[in-house]
Amino acid sequence: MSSLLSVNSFLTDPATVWMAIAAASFGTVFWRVLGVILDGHIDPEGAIYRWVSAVAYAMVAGLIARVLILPSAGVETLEMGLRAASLAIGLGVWWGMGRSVLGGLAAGVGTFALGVFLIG
Amino acid sequence: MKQGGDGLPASSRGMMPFLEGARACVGVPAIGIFMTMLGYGVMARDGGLSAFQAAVSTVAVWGISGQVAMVEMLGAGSDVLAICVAAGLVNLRMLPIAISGLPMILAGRKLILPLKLILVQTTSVTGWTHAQTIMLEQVAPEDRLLHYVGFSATLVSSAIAGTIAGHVAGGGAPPMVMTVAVFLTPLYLYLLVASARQKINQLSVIFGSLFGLAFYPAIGDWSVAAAGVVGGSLAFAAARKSRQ
Repeated sequence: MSSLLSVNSFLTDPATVWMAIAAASFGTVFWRVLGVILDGHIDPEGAIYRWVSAVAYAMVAGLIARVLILPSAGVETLEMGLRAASLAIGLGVWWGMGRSVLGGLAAGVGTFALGVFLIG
Repeated sequence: MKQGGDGLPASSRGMMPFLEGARACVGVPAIGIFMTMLGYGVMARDGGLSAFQAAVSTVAVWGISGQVAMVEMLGAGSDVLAICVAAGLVNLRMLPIAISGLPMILAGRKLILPLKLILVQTTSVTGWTHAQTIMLEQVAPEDRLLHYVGFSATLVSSAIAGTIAGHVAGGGAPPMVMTVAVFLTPLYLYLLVASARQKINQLSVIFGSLFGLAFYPAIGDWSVAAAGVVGGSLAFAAARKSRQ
């Protein structure tokens, strides 16, 4: 991580950066364009659409659950525990308050903030 | 009632749905994306991007995992093809999101291709989740497109502001505050998808979460795609079985 600590001591060659942005954009836009192409050919009432939606839900949930609990490969066990506990408390309050997103959010973020403050 | 050219009743409410969409974004979605992109702005600056380049990358990629992968690989001196493949891999969710999101947002309307492409470019996890949950339940079909455009315009503006603010402020914000702030968006989105009404989608959230966490230590960035296909297919099969 030492390279990240040399804050703003250099600007990468602009042409290299623009190429990287174009590459990352192309890699992402590719899926969106494919989605637009397939859109007219999939019946929104049909089985394929239901399966793709289920995959979308699972992908989004899988990504977010991972970002919440394991934001990076080097996360420490104590922080991971705090993150899992904050998510669990958030989900518990969300459920207990009749699926209140704001209630669960307040409880989860509150728990996490308190934990981060205590751990330091 | 007046009919629109696309066969749906034309919305008689002018720009109101747009404003309501924008209003729906102000609050947790806009604040959340601002904080997320604030973190990205700091990272982009450390990676050697100018503020302008950072803002362009936010709009052009519009998927935080791909943006982070790009900045990390740029710093590591990776080549363009590797960056393209990595960003595509971590942002693969845009495919099912586009396929399942477009019919919700268009609600039977026809759009010309360039407008459809712009619409789908602004579609990402936050917008899709809003469209699948709150919008679907509260907004009339003929108002959905404008509502979504208002929501997305606000979201993108907030993301650009966050990116630039992060770049300009650099590491000025206390790390503790950033850590907590960056926890906000994913938890909000998680609670929203968990609130899905249909059983198949509830099962997808449960299976996707479990597989996403289980696969990550072994296969890293592939875990999102794998959790989606395995978890989603299991939920699909389970829902199908229970209906029979």
